Amino acid sequence: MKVLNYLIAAITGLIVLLGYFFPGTGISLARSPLLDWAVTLSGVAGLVAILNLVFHVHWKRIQDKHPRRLYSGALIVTFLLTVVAGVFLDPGSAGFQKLVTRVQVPVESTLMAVLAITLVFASLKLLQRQRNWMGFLFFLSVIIFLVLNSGVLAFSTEIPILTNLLSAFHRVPMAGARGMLLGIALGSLATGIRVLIGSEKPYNG
Amino acid sequence: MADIRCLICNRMNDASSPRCWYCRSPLPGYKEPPAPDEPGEGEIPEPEPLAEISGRVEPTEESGESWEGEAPEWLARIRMLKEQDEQKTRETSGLDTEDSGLPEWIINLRAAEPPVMAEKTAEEALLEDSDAKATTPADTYADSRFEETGGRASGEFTGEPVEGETTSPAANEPFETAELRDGQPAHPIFEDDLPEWLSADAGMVETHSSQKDQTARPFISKEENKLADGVLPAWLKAIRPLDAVSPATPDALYSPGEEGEGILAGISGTLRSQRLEDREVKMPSRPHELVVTPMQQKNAELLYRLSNPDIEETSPVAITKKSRPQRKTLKIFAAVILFLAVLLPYGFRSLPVIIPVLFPKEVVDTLGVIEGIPAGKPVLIAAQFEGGLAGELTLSSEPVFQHLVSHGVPLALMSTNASGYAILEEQLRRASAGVSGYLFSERVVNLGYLPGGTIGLISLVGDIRAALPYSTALEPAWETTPIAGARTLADFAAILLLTDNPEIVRAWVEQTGRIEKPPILLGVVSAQAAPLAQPYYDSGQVQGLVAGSSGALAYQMIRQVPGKASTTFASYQFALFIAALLIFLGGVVSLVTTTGAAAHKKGRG
Amino acid sequence: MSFNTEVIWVVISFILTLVVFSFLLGDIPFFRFVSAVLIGMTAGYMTIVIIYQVLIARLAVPLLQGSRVALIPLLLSGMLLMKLSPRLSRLGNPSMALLVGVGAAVAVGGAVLGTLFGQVKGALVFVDLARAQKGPTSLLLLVEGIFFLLGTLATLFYFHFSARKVKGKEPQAHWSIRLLSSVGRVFIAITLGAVFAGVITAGLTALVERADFLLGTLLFWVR
Repeated sequence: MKVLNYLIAAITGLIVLLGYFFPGTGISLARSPLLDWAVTLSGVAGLVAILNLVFHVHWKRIQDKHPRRLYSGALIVTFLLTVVAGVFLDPGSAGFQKLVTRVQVPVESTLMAVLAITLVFASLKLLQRQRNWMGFLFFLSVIIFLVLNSGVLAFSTEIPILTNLLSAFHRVPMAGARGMLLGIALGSLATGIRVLIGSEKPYNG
Repeated sequence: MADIRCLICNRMNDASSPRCWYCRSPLPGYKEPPAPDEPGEGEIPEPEPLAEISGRVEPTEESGESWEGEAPEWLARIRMLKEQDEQKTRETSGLDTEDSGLPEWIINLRAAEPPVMAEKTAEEALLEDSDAKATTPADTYADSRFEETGGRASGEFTGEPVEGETTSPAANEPFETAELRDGQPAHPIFEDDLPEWLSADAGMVETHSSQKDQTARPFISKEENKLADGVLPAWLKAIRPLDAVSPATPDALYSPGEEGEGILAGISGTLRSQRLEDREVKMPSRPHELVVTPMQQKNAELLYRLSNPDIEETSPVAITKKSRPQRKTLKIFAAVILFLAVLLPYGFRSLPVIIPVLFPKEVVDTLGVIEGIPAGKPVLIAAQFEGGLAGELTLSSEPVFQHLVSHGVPLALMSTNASGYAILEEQLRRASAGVSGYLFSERVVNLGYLPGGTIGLISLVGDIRAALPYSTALEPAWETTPIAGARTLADFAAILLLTDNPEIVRAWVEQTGRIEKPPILLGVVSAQAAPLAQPYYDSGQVQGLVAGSSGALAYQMIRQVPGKASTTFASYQFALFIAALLIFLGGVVSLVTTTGAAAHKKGRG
Repeated sequence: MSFNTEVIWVVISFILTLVVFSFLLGDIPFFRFVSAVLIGMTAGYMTIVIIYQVLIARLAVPLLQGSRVALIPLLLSGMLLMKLSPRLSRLGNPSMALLVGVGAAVAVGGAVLGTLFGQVKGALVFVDLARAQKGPTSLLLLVEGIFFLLGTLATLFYFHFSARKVKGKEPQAHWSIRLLSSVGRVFIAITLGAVFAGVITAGLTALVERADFLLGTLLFWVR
């Protein structure tokens, strides 16, 4: 069974990979349905994750009389109500979409705002945690970029040297970011190849 | 006559010379005058160096002297003087032996051996060697060979000739005799004559040659028609895998028969192709373990602590119960200050606000691209962001949406996360509400959710119609007015990407970049994604970028159409400035208190 | 009617916003309740979206149209659903293998053709820019470009984690790598500082947007 799984992963991966380098060839004929199936399977995998969360994790909490089972109950009830509402209302309807725009967005936006406050509070002790030159550089960078983002230094246009200096500093993270992006790409490349050659088999769970 | 390059020292020599003037090694391509025992017609005589290597043709004694007659008088005089010097040196060092048939530069190397070692017989050397070293299969092999020969004297230790193998008379003679018979004086080693790399590693030369002599010298007498062991430079030795693995390889392994084969024949320490199976070779493969420096480990621990705040509770620097209320108070205090910073501009409209006057290039480019979109050509708006940043992206995207709508551009919406397309539609409805003459139902189609993340994107790039066949109302999307004419992704004038994650920008750049005529990629990104999205703009893979509220403000200022970003800018600026100030003050206080505490502790200690 | 439903939605949003802000005072039960409701609702919403836009649009419709090929993803989807059962979980592995294989290939192809080529080209674009200019501007562009190239390379070298084992000493990388890595740390510290400032900026923008909503709603009711 493990060999079969590996063969599926390797062959499908190889077909899709070859499609990158030989577009418009016969490989595309085999590649397109594979991609379609993978897209469908991704959706189904999402469904598996949701059902697992609701009926395995939270339902089990209720059965096990977990101290926070009430919240789990609220979660399951809301889940079922939403599904029922979705079945009766069209998912593309404005009424159903209000669940997202009027409930999900306000709650998550507020959570983000709370996170910002928490981050600022945590940053008060930045230098207490990392008392080395890198920590100090990070600390300075945070402050400078917050000030730059705020636009407070817009008056610097009257001082050309300051404008050039700020403009240059504003671009410095790009070099680091480019290095990181290249690092990420190399990492993805290595991991992808490891999966394709069978060094890593995350599907044999 | 053309010059000949010496294979050994790489110097140029006259074509008529049989040997290299510098290193005395035989030159390639030299044809000796026909000898009486010359092979008959049809047999191609092998050139001398190759013949020596393969051991099939014996070097003639004359070949070593033939150059002398040809040398000019002045050269002969120099050589004579040099030989006299060498004779003196040889007398003092007690060396008067020479390997017949070996290049002189190798013989010279042998002359550099310590006299005591050089005078040892092969038998003694072998016995010493077998005593000193643990018995290995190779040693056993050497010993058995020794026993087979009946423990004869060093010169006799040549092994019995294999059936059918023709050995020269010299090969069967004792080693010493063969040397003396040759009569060629051995040149002592001159430091100046050595190549730089060789003289620099004299120690290595010494050790190596002494090891060779203990075991390999008797074999040479047998295989005298082959090239003797050479010495490799240190750097070459270092990269040789076998030596790197087992530097203390028993010398018995260097059997002459093996070294006589292949292109590296005659050079000691070459990769041995035979009897490797007798040896247990531990490959120098890197172990599967991550070796990190203490600093890297410390950073990893710090990262782990940051991502797992619960750990800190159990760490030695745990926050005491006493300090918890203080933390909470401080947190509420920070929250109140930030709330005030946000709300104050609403109460006091006269508070000073510094409006940026320089517009980022990426924002100007976005505006330029949208201005240039041909009439009737659709734009694909793709979203993937968390609900938490929907508010920020609503602010950021508002001026861009207004611009698109005011141009009457047909739009197709889609998202690569489940809730994205709903938020996107809501944002667009709000932005288009103020624009007259733009019928949302006729100009906009919502293609809904595309699952699969990056896999979904590649499917979209390959065949957009198959990837997103229906609208959110489950109607055939590609028959609707806005996108009826579009068949591939290239038929869209541009792709406008709304995201809070630089990974999404990366995925879109990677997947759409391989289209032959890719549509223009524009981005409206959250401020948190901006630093990592900027390189894609800089490299030209993303042609325009509007980042955060400040980007939206610049866009509105260029178009001179106010919006939400303009009305909330004062709060935004004030909040950011206060946050920066708080962090700065926190840092200063941390520095002062910790430095003070450290000084206090030191004073106590 | 439409106005009334809108008002109800605004009231819900208003209350939810206040409840979540209460988290600043502590992890109160009401906040936990709202969190549970949010997760339940989001899960329900996603389920409906997947049912309509994946199961119906991609599986049911092609099957109803007579496509036999659609049976393969149907079968694979059925196998993947077996992952829900611990006993039958292994039956879902072939479907997972297909997903992982395709995902790996997409990652490899994308990284090579998209980021690696593009960003390397982007890192060297200054040469063309400098050529196009003349005089001191050209020199300035060249210096700037080299600076950024050095930053990029140094950052990459920072992620070179292998070190030599030296007997009796700490494992250490080659001195040239350590040097470049130190330069890379400077760039990384500045870049991460910028990213962190970006996260705070995004969060504070969300705070501004929420405050604007709360104030706007209050003012609307007051008037």
